[in-house]
Amino acid sequence: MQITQLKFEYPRTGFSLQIPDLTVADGERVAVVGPSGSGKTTLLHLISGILVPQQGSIRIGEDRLECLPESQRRQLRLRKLGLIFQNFELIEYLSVLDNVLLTCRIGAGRVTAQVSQRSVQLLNEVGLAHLAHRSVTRLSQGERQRVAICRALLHSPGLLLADEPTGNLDPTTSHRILQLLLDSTRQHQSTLLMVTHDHSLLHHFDRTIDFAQFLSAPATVNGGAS
Amino acid sequence: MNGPLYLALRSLWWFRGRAFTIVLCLALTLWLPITIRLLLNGFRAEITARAESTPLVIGARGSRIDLALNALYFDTAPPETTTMAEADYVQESGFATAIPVHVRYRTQNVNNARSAAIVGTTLEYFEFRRLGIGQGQGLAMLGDCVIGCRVAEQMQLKPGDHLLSAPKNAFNLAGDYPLKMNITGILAPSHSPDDHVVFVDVKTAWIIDGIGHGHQSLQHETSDDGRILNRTDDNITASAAVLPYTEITRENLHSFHFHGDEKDFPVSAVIAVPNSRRDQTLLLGRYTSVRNDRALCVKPADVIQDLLQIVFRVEQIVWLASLLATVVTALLLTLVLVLSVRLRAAELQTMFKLGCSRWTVATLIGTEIGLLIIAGLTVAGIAAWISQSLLADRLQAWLF
Repeated sequence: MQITQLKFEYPRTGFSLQIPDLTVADGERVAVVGPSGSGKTTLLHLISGILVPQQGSIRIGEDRLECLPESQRRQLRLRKLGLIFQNFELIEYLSVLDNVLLTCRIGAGRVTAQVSQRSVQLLNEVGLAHLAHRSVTRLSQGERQRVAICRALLHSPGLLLADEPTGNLDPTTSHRILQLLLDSTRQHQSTLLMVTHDHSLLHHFDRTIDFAQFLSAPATVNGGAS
Repeated sequence: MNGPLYLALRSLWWFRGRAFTIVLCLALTLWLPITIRLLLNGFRAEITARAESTPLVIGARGSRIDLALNALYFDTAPPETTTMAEADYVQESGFATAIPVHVRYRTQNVNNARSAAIVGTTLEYFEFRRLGIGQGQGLAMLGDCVIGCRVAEQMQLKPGDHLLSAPKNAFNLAGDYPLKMNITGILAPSHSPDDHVVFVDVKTAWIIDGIGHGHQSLQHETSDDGRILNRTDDNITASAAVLPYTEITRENLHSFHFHGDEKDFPVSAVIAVPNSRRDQTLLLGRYTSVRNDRALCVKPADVIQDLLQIVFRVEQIVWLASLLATVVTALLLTLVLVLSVRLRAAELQTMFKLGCSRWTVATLIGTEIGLLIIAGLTVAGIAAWISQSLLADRLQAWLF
């Protein structure tokens, strides 16, 4: 994933994000830290194609996001990216298994026997296979985040974007979830870009990007401090 | 199952309380107009068919509607009576076959069932309406009756049982006596008002009316016990101590007789079955000209059309009220759905962030709304069908 001369501004608030250059290598595990409001979530939204930059370029593999129409950006999110949110963002009226299969139901393809088998396998890997048909409303916070991770990993994405996935969890559960994420990305050979406020987790990552430097003056963050 | 449909079904099941309420609101709103439409359509078809199958009805001058409805449905308030002279006139004109219908009396209640109208007529009526005997046999002698299948069912009667007529006034000692009628047969179902009445020969109806009667012979009576008030060579005047027979049997049949000229005997209507359209026009012409002062001749189809115009106006008012209720309900449901979508904004936003298109989100919401509408319509349709099945007979009985 490569970002070049990126500039994005919210028209209403006037908040502006500028990233001159950022490269994340395949299989790399990168933590993104920085004060609230510094644009970490905006960066994830730009990388996932939810937002489109006014200037600059975002390249994921061979795809240049700013050149893709919305439909292709959506397909990219559905098939090549994995998204994990701070509040899990599970659908309450679906079971654990159906939440994992959600991307298939909303456009990433049909729910085939193979896909179902893979989702059960993922749930098994995170220790939730026995809860596959339970409502997600009856799960603990840690269990919900594990379901969200399974949902993100269903299509074996090359790039996993996690927005404070441990933000609402206690320290023990945070470490377990992080370990799960790291193990999963290693196992599935995915790249991980994770926003976090928890500095105690940073030593698990290959490197860290600190957004504080973007607030003072735009700078190249390639190979930032870890 | 495709994605949006699956998700819509899961969502509706999860929010089943809300979904059930919406379906119930929709069903209740739609049920009334659908039921009214079904009932009125059935009512209109039935009433029109019977009216159109009855070419002309002749009766005493007065209300056209009362005359037509009494001749067709028997159950309305009896109109002023005409006489058998009208039936004779029609028959002798050669234009039509005259079928007298005399409906004034009802049976007594049996087994908690509502009493049935007693229809005095001739055998031509059964042929005219194509009424067949389902059980037993037809009318054979005075005092016999055949009953409609619904009467038999409601009163739990069978051939060989008896049925009493109800006197018009139980406190009038000099009035008509109840007649014990012998049930000889039950009509096959015709799904018409004929299923709900008791048929007797018109002469039996006159006996119930008190015009004819039977009593012990006083011809050779010699004892002076007060039963003979006066005796001359050609006339015997009896006292009230001579009681009339209240049942006609083979043994006392010969004693039954009528006082007066048959052409003066009352009938509530005469159904005229013309030989041709031309004869119908001619007969109708006579009744609107030379016989206009004596009797009224109506085409039931025309009378019923006039009646249906009133029904149509009432239907329009009901429709308007239902339409307003539907609009109000639709607005309220729209509000509920809009608020519901707002409550689910986070869920829809998640789907969008994961890669779901706006079209898929719209399809999901649309599918949910569609399923609710289909469920509401289905429930309303089933409820309307059940209501129509239960209410059609009651409505007819209530109207006539």
